[in-house]
Amino acid sequence: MSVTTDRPIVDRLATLGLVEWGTPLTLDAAQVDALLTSRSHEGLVCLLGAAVERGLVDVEPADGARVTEAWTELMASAVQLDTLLLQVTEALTAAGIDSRVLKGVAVATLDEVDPSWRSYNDVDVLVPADKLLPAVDALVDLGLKPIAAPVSRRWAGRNSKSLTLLHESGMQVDVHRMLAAGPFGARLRPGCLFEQAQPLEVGGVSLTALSDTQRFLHACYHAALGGVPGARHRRDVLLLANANAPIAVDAHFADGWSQAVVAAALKWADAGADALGADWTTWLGSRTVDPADGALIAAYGGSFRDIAKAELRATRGPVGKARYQAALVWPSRANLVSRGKTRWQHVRGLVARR
Amino acid sequence: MTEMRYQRSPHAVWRASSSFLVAAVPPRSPTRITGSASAVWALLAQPRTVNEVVRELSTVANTAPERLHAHVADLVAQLLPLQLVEMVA
Repeated sequence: MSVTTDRPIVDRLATLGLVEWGTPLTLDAAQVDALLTSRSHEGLVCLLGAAVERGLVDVEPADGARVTEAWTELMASAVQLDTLLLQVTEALTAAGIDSRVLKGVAVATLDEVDPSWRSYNDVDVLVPADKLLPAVDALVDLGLKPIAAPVSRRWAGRNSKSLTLLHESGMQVDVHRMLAAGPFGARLRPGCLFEQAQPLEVGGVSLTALSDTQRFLHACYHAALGGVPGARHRRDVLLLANANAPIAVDAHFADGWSQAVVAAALKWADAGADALGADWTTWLGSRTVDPADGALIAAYGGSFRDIAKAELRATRGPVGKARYQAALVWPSRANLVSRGKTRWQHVRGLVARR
Repeated sequence: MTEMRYQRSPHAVWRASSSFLVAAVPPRSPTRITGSASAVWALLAQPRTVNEVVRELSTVANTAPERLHAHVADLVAQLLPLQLVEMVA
């Protein structure tokens, strides 16, 4: 653990409580504004509020009031999302579908220094890989509908990482059948995520999250493969790394988790922070990343098309490849409508990109 | 006469810091209370009378109990109809 005084405020907030803060910092109104208007997936407002409360960041009283107000609103949003989560898990249970709470309230409650330090923007649940469509159907009565129609229901049930549902309140629920899209998601033995669990209490109701180690691995996957990593993803990786010993994580690689993804996430999260324990530093130094996996991780930084191409390459047999491509080449009319495209525009786009 | 004891609802979904309390008993909407409500909320994890809460708070906050009593009683009265706090026998 190191004393850090000259790192950017975003980096310092991302590691609040994980490394020694050093000298308190004074922020002016413009700097507070910049943090209050940062992208929500960065999760900085709660961390700023916590740092101000702890006397680690000094602001003018009016700015402090604005921080508290913004923080309070994010927590009100979290409470509303938790309420929706309770309804979602109840409906899934009633339909006989097992579920695991992902990210959000699971990390806030089980891993964060204090639940109020973690904001989130949606509800995330994992269902067994073959239960995505039944799960989505079971949630219709809650007023939850797919935000965009899938290319085909069958394709979604067999290949989608998740479907995003929109609630009439505007809140969103991501129903996952995998923790990552494409080959990294497909490699994971599906059953392993339901063989272990960590209980989690929300509003007096006992829910189930991924196990401690699987939450760490998921945080790494989300950070390395999720597309738009920010301070919140970085913090999740560091928080969970320090709660899980490498030896416990090593036991999970036989299930298909990628060491390359874990190594990439840890290196990214710890860059300049020095927040990882010595055991993880040693672990990183002892791993050789498979170059093919390294290239695959880079593909995840691209578009859906890049990930789909990688999955197509990994799909075995001509029948499997044809089945995978068919709905992408000829998507449902509802999917085209939700993307604002005519079939002609879609086909023309495919031909142009060949 | 026995003083009434209060406890926060086990069904409450909530977040708190030293500057605010946000809580709801689903499916109700969250209630937001700024200030030191979270200190009272923390004490109400166990059944307590208003006077017991005041006594504990006055020790922690180094404030005279009589200055805190109205604040605590008002807060409990505000939380009761929202079902965030329950009366305990």
